[in-house]
Amino acid sequence: MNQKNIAGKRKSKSDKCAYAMIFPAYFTFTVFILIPIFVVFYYSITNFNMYSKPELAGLKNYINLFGDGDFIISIKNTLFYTILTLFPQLALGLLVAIMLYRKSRLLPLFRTAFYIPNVMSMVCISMVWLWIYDPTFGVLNLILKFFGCAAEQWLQDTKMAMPCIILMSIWKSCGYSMVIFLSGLTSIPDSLYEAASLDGAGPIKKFYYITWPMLRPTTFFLLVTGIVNSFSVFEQVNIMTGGGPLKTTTTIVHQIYRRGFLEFKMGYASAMSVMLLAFSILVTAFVFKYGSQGQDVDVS
Amino acid sequence: MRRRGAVLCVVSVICAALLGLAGCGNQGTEDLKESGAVNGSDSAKTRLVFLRVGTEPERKTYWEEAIAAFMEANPDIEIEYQECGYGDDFETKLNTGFASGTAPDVINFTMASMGTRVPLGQYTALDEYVNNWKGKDDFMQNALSLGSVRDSIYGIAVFPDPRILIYNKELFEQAGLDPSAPPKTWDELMEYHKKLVKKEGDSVVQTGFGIPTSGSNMQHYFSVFMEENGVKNLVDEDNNQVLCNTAEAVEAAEFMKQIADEGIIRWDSNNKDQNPFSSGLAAMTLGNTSDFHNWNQGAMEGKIAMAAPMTNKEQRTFCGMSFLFMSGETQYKEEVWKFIEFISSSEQMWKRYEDLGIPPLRESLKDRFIQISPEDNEAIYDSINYGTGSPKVAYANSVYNAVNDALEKVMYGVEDAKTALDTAADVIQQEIDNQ
Repeated sequence: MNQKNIAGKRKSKSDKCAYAMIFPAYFTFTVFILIPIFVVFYYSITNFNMYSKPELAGLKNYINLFGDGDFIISIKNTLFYTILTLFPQLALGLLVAIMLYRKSRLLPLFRTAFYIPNVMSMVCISMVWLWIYDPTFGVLNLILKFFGCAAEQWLQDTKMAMPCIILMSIWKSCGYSMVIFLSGLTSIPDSLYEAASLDGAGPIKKFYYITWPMLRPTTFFLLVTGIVNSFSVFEQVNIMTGGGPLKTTTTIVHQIYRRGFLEFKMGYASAMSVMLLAFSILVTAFVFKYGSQGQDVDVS
Repeated sequence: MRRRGAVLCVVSVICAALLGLAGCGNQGTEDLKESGAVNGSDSAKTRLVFLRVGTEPERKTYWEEAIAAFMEANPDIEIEYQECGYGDDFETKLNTGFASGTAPDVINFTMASMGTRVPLGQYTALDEYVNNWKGKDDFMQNALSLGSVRDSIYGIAVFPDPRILIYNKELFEQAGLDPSAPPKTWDELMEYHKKLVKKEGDSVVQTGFGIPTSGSNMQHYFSVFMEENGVKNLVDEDNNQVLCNTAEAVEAAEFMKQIADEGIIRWDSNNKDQNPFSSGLAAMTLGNTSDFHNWNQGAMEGKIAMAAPMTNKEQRTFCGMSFLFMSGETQYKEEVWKFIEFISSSEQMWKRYEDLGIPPLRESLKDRFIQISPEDNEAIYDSINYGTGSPKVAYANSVYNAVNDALEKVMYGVEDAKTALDTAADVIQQEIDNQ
């Protein structure tokens, strides 16, 4: 009985301490994420314009969204960007991680070099790539001219603008995927590869039957975070193309920014934000349902 | 001990959160100002925040000198200078300032901003100050009325911004054109443009007339051609009538498309640095007096010149204007007016002309200004005197977005000018109906 009491007291103490420990994170989450989400839900059914008192508008903002050609285009562009950024970025990250998963004195140098773009500000990177893509003095066109090719308009070309942004985003993010994949690779026991070698498996078979299955949890994590990040793409679009030409690069968040902060239609922009949130949750749930099989690979 | 630690931790977090949230409150500016007055070295000084649009170094120098001169004449007022780039960045900064209660006291911003910000109470009406102002009668009447909304004056013009044809004399000579005879009509402009375009295969390596094909400032270029074709503005703000799809406006857009079809170097009007004129790859373009000042340096110094506004039906040009506004939130109205009055004085106006080439806006300086370059300056003065500038309507940003979308479609050949501008007019009409 006495022992039970002591255990209960200890548990109670440790509970309080645990609550205190998690309090900062939960408090921050509540104040800066949860409450704003509810506020955005409320604004989305009003005609809020940032300065005057919002009046209820029912579902008008949501109904208008479906007739808004720019919003529909932005959804298509965001999906296009997500698919063409995420998968190449994961593939490249994995390739680089595998290439750099060995012992060499130069490896830290290469790993750092690949990771540096990821820690740099997107604004700075966008400015640098804006110069690279400059049709007159850009490095890319200088290279093309050197090899006798015609100069391209890059960001001014309706077919090239989005691929240009995608290329830059892949370059920036693949270092992050590389680091996460490297950490995943370190958790694969060497014994598996040794056993495979004894069975006569070559590098491709080792990758297909050992590395890839063992990296599924890592890939799944990168996939989910990548989807959420790609859906919120904004800075590079706003700086490099402003959503043009002909709205070929406008994205959902870019439309939210334009409607909310430039046209003062904060209620309408909030409705867009709610749609984006719903869309993100839907896609993430889909990935969780169909993309997370084989997470628990028992290697013991 | 552990409990005490946990409690201390919770209390610290709550205090930090409260402090953080307090910073988001509406009273932030006042609190800061009061504490600045009490704790600062000069407790009697009033501190004003001045935010101006643009980041051009030579204008920054002007403002810093003007502020220093003002503070010397008014030792009881201290001015903090802030600046932010044109376009979306400035709008966002200002919106954030007003939304968080940290708006600047004096704002240097565009005419179009009045349309959206006056109804929101962000600018203070200046009538009581202007009516007692000695400089009122000497101030250019049109400039004064352009700063008005519904018969109340909200802004005092500081930087008139007429869009002028700027051309490269050296490229004119290379193409066999007379560098002292720039185009005066649309026909001449087209003729010159054709002669100046150079191509390597399908690529245009030099263009005659540098005109953007995308971006959020295309409406300024369109407005120039539209006004030269007799349309006074994108929207008639007095009657809320859409003018951007009138026959003359459509003709102006078609003319821009014809120029593009003859060969241009595409660029985004959001990035002024991309204008091929600045790199010597366009022989002509439209710019303001500041652009001329900037481009007339380095390798281009002495090689470029300004031309009088062109004509198709009327010799006109688009003349934007930036104003000094008193914030609707400022507590220091008298001090703000003192600053506006100082900046609007004849001395400061002439200094702006000497330092930056900005045309003066006082009748007493008109003759002196015109005498310096009779042909150019008379045309510039007339452009300012008759210019209507941007529409001062609450839906101005939507007008620009719709018109820019239409112009992009025209320049990329997706739609013809009439269809694109009719669509833009429908969008604008919807905005008008929703007001």
